[in-house]
Amino acid sequence: MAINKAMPILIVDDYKTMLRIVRGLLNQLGFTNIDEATDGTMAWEMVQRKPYGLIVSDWNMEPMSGFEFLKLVRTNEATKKLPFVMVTAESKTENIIAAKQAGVSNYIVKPFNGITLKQKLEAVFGPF
Amino acid sequence: MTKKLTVEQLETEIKKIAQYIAEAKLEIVAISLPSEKTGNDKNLSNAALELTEVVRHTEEATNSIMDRADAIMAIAGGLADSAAGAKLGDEAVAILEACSFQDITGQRIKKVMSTLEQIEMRVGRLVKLLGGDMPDSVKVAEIDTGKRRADEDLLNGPQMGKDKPSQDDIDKLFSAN
Repeated sequence: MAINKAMPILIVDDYKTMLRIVRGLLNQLGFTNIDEATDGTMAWEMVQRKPYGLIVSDWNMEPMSGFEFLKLVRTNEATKKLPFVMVTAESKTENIIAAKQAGVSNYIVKPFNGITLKQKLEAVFGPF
Repeated sequence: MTKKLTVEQLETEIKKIAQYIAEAKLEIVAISLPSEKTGNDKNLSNAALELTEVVRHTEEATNSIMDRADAIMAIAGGLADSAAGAKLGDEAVAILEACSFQDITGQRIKKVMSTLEQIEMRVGRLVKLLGGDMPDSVKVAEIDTGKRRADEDLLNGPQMGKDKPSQDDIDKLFSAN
């Protein structure tokens, strides 16, 4: 799957500093068309209104977690193949397995850097 | 051969137990009372407030640091010496990446606050079991509302010390499953 750097990207995290960091790192990689949501519920509403090319989401959020949001995205016909990368401090084996079984495209553990983000996006989209 | 207690001794012991329970009730209630009610700021409500302030202050400081990093990146982009500009830009990005500490510390603090809330709920229940009432100013939710988040069992927060896996560990797990 070739990457389109102009594609709209949705980043989801309940910490504003984290949204700013992820946005900054994506900007550095050449992605500038970025929207933000602060939890799974808000993100799900946005996904239903706009055709995003990528979702980058935290896990631990309320009222809807990134994991629950992922499951919603994967059960919807229009979004079930939408690339979804989890970026989270949750790092136990059961988390990785649960996310993989729910259909996550890749999994990044916090804290992370721009090189890791690029590597994991390239694993999904191919080199860029 | 054990000596039988006299009625007077039994009465004294029962009174001591009743006194102990009454004092324990007061101490338990004081844990959750605001400091203006007790004159003592070592209580759960204050502890939670202090932690909230920590998160707020670290967020402010982190935003300030990131503002400076953005400014450095803008300057780097305008330098005539492109090699120096690139190096400066890389350092600014590294500053941005380091700011993710605020997210991790915030999550750890959230975990501590959640634990404090649980303790406060159980204190409230204990007070009720002992036959007392919490003051009106202290609102204590029931221990178990039956509400659970769907992925409650998967929410552990950042791991600590030697248990903390690296991204390589995560990648191996991800590929194997």
